[in-house]
Amino acid sequence: MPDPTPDTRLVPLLLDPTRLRISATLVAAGEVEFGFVRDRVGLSDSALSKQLKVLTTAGIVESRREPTGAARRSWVRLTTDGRAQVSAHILALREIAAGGERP
Amino acid sequence: MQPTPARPTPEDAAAAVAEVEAARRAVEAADRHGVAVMLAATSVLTFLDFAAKDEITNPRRRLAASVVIQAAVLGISPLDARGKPVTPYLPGDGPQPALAMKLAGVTLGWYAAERLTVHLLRRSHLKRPNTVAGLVLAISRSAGYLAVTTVLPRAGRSA
Repeated sequence: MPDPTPDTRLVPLLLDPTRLRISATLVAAGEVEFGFVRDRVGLSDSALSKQLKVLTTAGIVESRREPTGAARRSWVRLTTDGRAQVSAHILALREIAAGGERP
Repeated sequence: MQPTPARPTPEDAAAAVAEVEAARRAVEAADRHGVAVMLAATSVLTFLDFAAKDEITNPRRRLAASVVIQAAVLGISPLDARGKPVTPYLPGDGPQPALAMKLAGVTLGWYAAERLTVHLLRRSHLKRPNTVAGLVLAISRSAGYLAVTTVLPRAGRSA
């Protein structure tokens, strides 16, 4: 049973396991190729695109496509604010997992 | 504005933290993939580039060998970057002239140290000074690459 006490550091969007997996992959790197995130999270292209759209709308994620090349790749990364939010969310999760109290 | 969420249970939080750690390991493995091969290839080509100067007496053939080998060395880095699905370093929030100057200084210093080493070895009384220089640079370039990539700040270290 979840503890009903709110924690302002937790990001509601990231309580979804799929979006947490996406964010956890992105927070570990500066930028990640779309295909790597897709394979790691185990989603189809369209399902990942939908999740990324949600995260992009929330200002957590941004993406770009390589401008040149025969096989232009798409790259995804956390925004500056998104990285801060994901880091705070993970810190809160660590404290909860360790049974620690919030400051 | 999003509603403030309820706290997950410690079990759920632990599972989420485990997922975060798994993602970090996956990203680090993807970043390390191919590094050993890339460094080995760079070292071998660097050694051959210098050793050829001792072994090939014909100047035109020596130049041709050097051009081919150096083109191969220059091609390794883009191929390596192209093959990686992750960029481990944090993107900057804009131009960072101080950092750019620092990197340029380190690069120039490294280049000057290499040229000085090669120059001193060539002036020495070694029988095969270029071969020795190739051996030194083959090791120092790979070691330098590893040192720099270890020191550079990476994303996700504090998360």
